[in-house]
Amino acid sequence: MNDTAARTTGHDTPPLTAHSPRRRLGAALAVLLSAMALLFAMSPLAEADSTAGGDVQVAQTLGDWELTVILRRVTGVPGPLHVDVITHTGTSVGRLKLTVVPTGVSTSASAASASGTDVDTAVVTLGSRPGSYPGVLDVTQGGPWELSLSAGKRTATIPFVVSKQTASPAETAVYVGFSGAGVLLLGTVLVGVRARRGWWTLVPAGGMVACLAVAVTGALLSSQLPLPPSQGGQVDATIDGVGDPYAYVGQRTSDYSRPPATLLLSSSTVRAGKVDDLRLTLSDASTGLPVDDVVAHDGALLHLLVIGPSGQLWHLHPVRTSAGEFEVALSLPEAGHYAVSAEFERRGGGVQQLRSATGIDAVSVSGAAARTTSGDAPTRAGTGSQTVAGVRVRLTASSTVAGKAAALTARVGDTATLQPWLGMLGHLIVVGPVSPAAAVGTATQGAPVWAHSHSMGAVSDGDHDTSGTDDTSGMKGMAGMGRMETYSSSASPSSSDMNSMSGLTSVNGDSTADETVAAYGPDISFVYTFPTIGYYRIWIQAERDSTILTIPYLLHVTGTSEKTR
Amino acid sequence: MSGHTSPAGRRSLVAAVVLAAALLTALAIHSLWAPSSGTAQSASDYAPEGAASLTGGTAHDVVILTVSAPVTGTTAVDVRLVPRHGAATSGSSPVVAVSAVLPTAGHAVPDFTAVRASDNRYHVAGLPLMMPGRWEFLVVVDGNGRHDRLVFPLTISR
Repeated sequence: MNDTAARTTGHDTPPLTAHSPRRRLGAALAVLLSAMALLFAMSPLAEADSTAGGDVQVAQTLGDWELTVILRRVTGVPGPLHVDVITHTGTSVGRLKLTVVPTGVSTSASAASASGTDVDTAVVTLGSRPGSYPGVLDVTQGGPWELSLSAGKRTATIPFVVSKQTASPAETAVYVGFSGAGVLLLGTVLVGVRARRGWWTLVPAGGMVACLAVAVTGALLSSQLPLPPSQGGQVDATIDGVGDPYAYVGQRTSDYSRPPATLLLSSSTVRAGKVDDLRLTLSDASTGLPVDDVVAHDGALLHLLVIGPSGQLWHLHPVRTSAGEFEVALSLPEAGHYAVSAEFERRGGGVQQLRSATGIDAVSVSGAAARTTSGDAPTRAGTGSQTVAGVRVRLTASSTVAGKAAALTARVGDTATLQPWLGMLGHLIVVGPVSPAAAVGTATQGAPVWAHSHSMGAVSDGDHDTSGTDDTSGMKGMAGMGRMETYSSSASPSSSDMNSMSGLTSVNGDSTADETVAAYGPDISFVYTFPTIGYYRIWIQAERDSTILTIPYLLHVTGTSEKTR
Repeated sequence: MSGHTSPAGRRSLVAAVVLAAALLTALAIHSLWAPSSGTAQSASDYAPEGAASLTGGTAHDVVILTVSAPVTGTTAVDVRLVPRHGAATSGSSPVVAVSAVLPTAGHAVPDFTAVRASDNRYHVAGLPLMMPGRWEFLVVVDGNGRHDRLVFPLTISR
């Protein structure tokens, strides 16, 4: 039919030579344009930008160093991984060797060919000045990796995931649909102008409508489709899973959590005044196997709290040496009992706090140094002022009544120069109820309450608006942010700066301020509801002048009836 | 309409339109289906009929784990060690043990010492997988002064 039409009209056409090359050129151009447009539309899948996830901060107690290792976001693979090692006051000069090793598995032998081998190394020389010491390493592919830090005989390994930005199937449909519609629109115009019969235009026009339908459907669906589970955060990361998380969704579930763990200490007896390596083993409470899925939580893989006989607190970050094994160099200054607890998070969610059933007993040995607790502040009974490491600290508490939210506000120094440590402006460790006269290590070993609360800045003491504080049990992280705006800024002298938390919270996946930003405070507030009456040992921790200050207090928490009487 | 259109010109126009439409359709189908077809090809998670093969590695070897029947039930598992270039291959062959864990449920299967089938190939006849889920296959290579522990995550879908 078409051929006939072509032939009949062919009689009165002029010679072909003038038009046919132009038409062919036009047709070729149309095909080329459509192919280019589609390639352009498909390019997001092929790109390897890894903008998912921000910086990873991991505190590491490596030997006598307390370091914060920041793995900056990798913006493309292969590409550089910027590692910043932040030191604190008193860090001795030394060299740190960094090595990156891919650890992922893949169905493709070539993708996993480098797994388990050192891909790049760098040496960072730590100076005597506290600050940030950078290193750059090359990462070659997306997937799970390990960064190892070696100093002398000690090696720490930090697992991390180099992610890739991938488009969801719905987004791909939108890209392809709109690109196709654009190309077909051109085609429709071209055919409309050139074709002899009008209905020919229906072919590309119909295609255009179909493409638009695909794009609009994709756009409408894209916000409703569930995200794939986070590789490394919720499920075990693999090279394939990081490369295309949508293809490896597997079974949909809302619960990725894993069983609790048990904490074993390598030794329950150490020598007082000597440096001993304490090894901690985390084992799965269901299978007994090593727990090798610890993810960075609150700026560390593992937070170790040790409380000494005279009320000293150590908040350390043991380094991972192998699957489920952590190690920390511990120098316990005096003989006596030390209570131990650890906090960490397993892949799949859920922070766990484990208390060592044994604790540690430090025994006197001949030749060991006597008590060297000169740097420790004596515990102050009640709220009030004390000076720790040359910094004046004032603590006020709205009320210390059991079952009522207590707002504790510490003014650390007098200038807004606090640095966020472990992603938070302040840490509050609460242990009790304890006998105020007993040796602290022994008393805290058996204390029913061990709590760890955080501060993201100042809030008023809440006395003028107690209705809002009743349900604020243990404000953690950002839980109190919504409440901040309701507080009057007049109650606390320095809370006029309500932007004091700016930069500490991640907006749109941005990375938060690290310890190099000394622009917060000096007031840090905690809201904690003491569950029962009695004496509580509390420690407030904050960083100032690159020094981590630990400020001990002893608080008496009363009952409601005592208060009203 | 244009009275100057030649039959050859129209034919080429028709051919171009058809070709463009076909190309567009083919590319659209390819781009939309590429992820899942790639999965079916490479990820044996979704092809439970066939064996699932995963490659990992240590400083000494490239380790290839093949799960014959990645479905609930009993499956044979093969481990192949390909020594890396430069890695010492002398000495007796290492002991290879295979186990599996379903971490979210807290299930584990016993350790199976793999039988050396041939050079660098090790075989476990029956490893029980009691339920579907995101399993971890644990391969421990012991001997010749090394102790390597590898984890191969593999989804057992049914």
